[in-house]
Amino acid sequence: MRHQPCTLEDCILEATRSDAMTEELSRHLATCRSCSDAVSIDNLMLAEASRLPELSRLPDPGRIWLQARQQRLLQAADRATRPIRAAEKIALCTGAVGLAIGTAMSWPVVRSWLGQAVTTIADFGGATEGSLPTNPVPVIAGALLFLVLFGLYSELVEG
Amino acid sequence: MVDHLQIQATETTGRRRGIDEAAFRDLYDRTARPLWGYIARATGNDSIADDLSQEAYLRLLRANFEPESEEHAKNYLFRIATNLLRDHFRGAKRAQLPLEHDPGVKGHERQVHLQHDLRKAMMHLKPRERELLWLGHVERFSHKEIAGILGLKTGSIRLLLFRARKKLAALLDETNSGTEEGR
Repeated sequence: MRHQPCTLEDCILEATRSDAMTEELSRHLATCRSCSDAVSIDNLMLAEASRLPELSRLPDPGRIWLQARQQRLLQAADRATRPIRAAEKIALCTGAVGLAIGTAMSWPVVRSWLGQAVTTIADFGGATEGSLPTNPVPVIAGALLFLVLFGLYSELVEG
Repeated sequence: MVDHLQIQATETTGRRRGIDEAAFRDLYDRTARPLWGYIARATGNDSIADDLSQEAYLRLLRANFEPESEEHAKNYLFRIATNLLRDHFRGAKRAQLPLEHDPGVKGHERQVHLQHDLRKAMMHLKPRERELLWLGHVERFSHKEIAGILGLKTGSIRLLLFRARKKLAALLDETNSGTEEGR
């Protein structure tokens, strides 16, 4: 069995498609399996193409045009607001970092405020100013983690 | 035919350009049926062909593509469709219809069954083989154009087409021998 296409295949296909088969090509076609397969499949595929249903199922091109225009406008709006969204994120990060630095720098004051707040809440399970951590890092890390999670959630909701 | 595809600036950005509505309608009228047929026979599903054809046109318009000629636009559209098909096949396993044949059919019924057999046999080919056969035998794209659409090397198209044909012929033979045994 042949494992390479016949060199006359294109000529044979062209001749059968244009109805210009010569004696020589006909003789070749009768003996070449590769070419006869090519011609049979060509005919079958063309018959299949001619049996395709009418395109009443596809929408009007005007509708596709309008839909594409709408999508382009949305894309344009998305591009235009991208700097605003970036600025919002930068502001949020800057604010968070500033807050963290401020809290760390004035931790004794913040700790005293928190202690006052805790003691004013009646049923707090016995918590007092003394039970608050002296190291601000866990508090700041927790706050930053909360902000990151909140940012991710907002991004997901927007997306 | 370049004049069919008059290019004008789109109003969305003032910089980007694409084809205008009249040119798009013209392109759609000439390519919708072949494109739908290509997708329908590559997927074996008419409803998927509806969706993917529409998406192909939407992507063409969204890309603000500037065609150099009618052929260029058609090739680009078929390339988009091929990418959509690739995504589709990545997400779905192709249906394997059994190769069976009803015995005792004659005349025009025989032709109908042959077409039915072809469709079933094609579903046993790889998506890439179905695409190759359709582009080469129905759309009659040149090997260079097929290579561009499918993202393959031009030199390999002849051999790939040959192999796809051989495989399809073998599948059809298998169906026919089933028919002969059934008689």
